[in-house]
Amino acid sequence: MLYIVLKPISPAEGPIIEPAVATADNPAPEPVLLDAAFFSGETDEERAANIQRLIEQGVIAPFDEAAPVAPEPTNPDPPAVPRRVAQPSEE
Amino acid sequence: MAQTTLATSSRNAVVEISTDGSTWTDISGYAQSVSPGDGTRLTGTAHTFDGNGPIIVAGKLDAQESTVGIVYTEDTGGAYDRAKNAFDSTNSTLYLRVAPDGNTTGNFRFTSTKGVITQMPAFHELDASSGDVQMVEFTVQHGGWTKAAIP
Repeated sequence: MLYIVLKPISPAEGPIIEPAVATADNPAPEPVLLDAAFFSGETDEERAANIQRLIEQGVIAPFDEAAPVAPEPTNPDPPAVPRRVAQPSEE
Repeated sequence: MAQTTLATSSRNAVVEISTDGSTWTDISGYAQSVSPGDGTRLTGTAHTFDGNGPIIVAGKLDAQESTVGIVYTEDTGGAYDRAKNAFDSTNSTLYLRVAPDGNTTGNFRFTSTKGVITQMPAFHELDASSGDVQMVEFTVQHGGWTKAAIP
């Protein structure tokens, strides 16, 4: 699960992680994303609670991982019954 | 507004220092006090013949001086050792980081910009008639603090 950074985050090590900010040169910047494993918590439940707290504070938000519509891959197993071909109208 | 129930003391504060702004050393076991500095903005004023009050304009944020009081000890890697080594380095660079309410997820942590240690006494003022713990205060001049959430 990925989360969008909405407000600055101060990790234990490393510099502050700033959210993406639109500028005149880049009006639609790529969002800054963090994996769930980034957040503290000794257990999955504890980490989930910490993530929830940050979401409630508006620091992060769940990232909708629904990828943009991509072409469907070729179906390796075509249906056994051939599709009916559209027939021209008799009228 | 109703009286807040969220007030805290500074008993859980965490104080850290770094020479590169990336790798941090927790000196909470040595630090006794942190004065963040004034946090002021430069301004300018001018009076004109028309009107009664001045024109006031806002400038840049001013540099600020933060003071950290630590226990004087002679252990290698202790707060005094690290701060003194940073002061003695060519550029006397030091970053400060403070979590006023402790390192709990969701709390704020304030990180200074790259700073310079401007004052670092070699040792505490010695007084044979005192039983006080030997303390040292060093001062870091920097460009301000960035507030960020603890993940």
